[in-house]
Amino acid sequence: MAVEARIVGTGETPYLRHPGGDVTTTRLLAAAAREALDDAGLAPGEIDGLGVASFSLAPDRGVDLAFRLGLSLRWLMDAATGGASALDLLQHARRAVEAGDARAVLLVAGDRLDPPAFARLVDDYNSATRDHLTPIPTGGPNALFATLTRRHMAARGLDRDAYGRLVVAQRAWAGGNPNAAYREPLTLDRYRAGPLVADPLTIYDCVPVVAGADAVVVAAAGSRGVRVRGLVSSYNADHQDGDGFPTALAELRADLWDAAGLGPEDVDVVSVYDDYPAVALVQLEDLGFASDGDLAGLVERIAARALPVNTAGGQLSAGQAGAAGGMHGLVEVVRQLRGAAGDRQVEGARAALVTGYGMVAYRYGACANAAVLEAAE
Amino acid sequence: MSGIPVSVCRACGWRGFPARLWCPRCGADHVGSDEVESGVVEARTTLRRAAGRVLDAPVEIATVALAGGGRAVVRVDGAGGARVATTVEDGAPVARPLHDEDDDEEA
Repeated sequence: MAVEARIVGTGETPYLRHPGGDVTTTRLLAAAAREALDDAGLAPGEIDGLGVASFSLAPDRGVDLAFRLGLSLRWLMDAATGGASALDLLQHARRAVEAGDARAVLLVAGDRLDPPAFARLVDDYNSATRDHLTPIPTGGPNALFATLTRRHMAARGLDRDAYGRLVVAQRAWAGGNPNAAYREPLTLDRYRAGPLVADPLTIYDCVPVVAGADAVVVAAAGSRGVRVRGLVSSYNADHQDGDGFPTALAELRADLWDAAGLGPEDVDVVSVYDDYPAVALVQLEDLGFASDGDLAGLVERIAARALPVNTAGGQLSAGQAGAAGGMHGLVEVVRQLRGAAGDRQVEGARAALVTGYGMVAYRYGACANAAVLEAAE
Repeated sequence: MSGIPVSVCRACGWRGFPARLWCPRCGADHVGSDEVESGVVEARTTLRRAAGRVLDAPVEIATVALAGGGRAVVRVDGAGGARVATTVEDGAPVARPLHDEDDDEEA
């Protein structure tokens, strides 16, 4: 291939639990985008591709964001894949750059969803939700993932502490991320005593909604920047007919590692999509990080940082800024591979895994994707 | 009283909920419907908080394996075992336990 696309810049706003009245989705997207451009050493006039994911940008769309930011483009994409949108965008942007359709693509995701807007979003998420879940009422996805977690506990012989240790480990990482919404240390005892949302899930098991945005720049950059060694995506793999686990990643696992020329044992840092701790563990098992099915052992490795997972706190501690949920993890592993992760830098990080997951078509996420990234030479 | 309306593929017999236009298994586009009036609870939860506040009345929610095939998320009205009668009330799929004793293997 004549040109190889690389990730050459990242940006992320602080994640805000209580955004002020002047904080709008457009301004959050602009702030993350500007930071990513500065990081890449590119001026807005050098950007000729834009990809956008947001639940709250309406009535604007990608072209309107281009207008507001003064960008003139040859490539444009609106992603509607929620927590899978970052890798969805990356999958397409990478090929656009390598095919010559664009030279430098800005990918940006973010949301400001106040409580009424969030309630509208989850109640009218799609027609299946509007017609068959909202009348129950389910009040959003937490109850669905509570039943998924119950099935997971029974199938894998786990108790709540297995999830708790993951949550506590991520909170410890969040302490090193000044952008995270929740940074104060969390103990396993406090986790166990968390108020129930939908048993067995407590407030510590459900992503907190925040306002924020993330951005990356994908460009033809010679030997600079982070390489995409492999990237796989799946949509509606099982027609919502199963238990929600394994995810589609289990079937894509061989394709991903074959494309990357690496295996789970080669990965130095992981961002796994973590709307709920069970979903994070399911994906890690699907991709081969618990080859003997020993999830308790996997959690111990994560807690000991033998396997650095969600090193910016993940969404469970940093927060879920709507459609930025998937891009948070991508931004973090790129920072790690570029040696730019500050106090939480994983020394010598050369290879990373990032996953995306989302869009509950009815009972659980219908989208799953994963990428293996590698640091520049 | 009506049951939960599942899709039934007229070509291969696949059944599922909510309704599909094409059969996910064989691709046929002649998919009919059937109303299912019973099932078995697979996993359940009590929703106590939504949109950041404690609910005045917790909601019992479960995943039910519908008789004949397909799964539905339902509100559970009443206490009891895993075998349930299924219906739709004001648009909400609802399950009512068929007997008090919990002699089924409940998830």
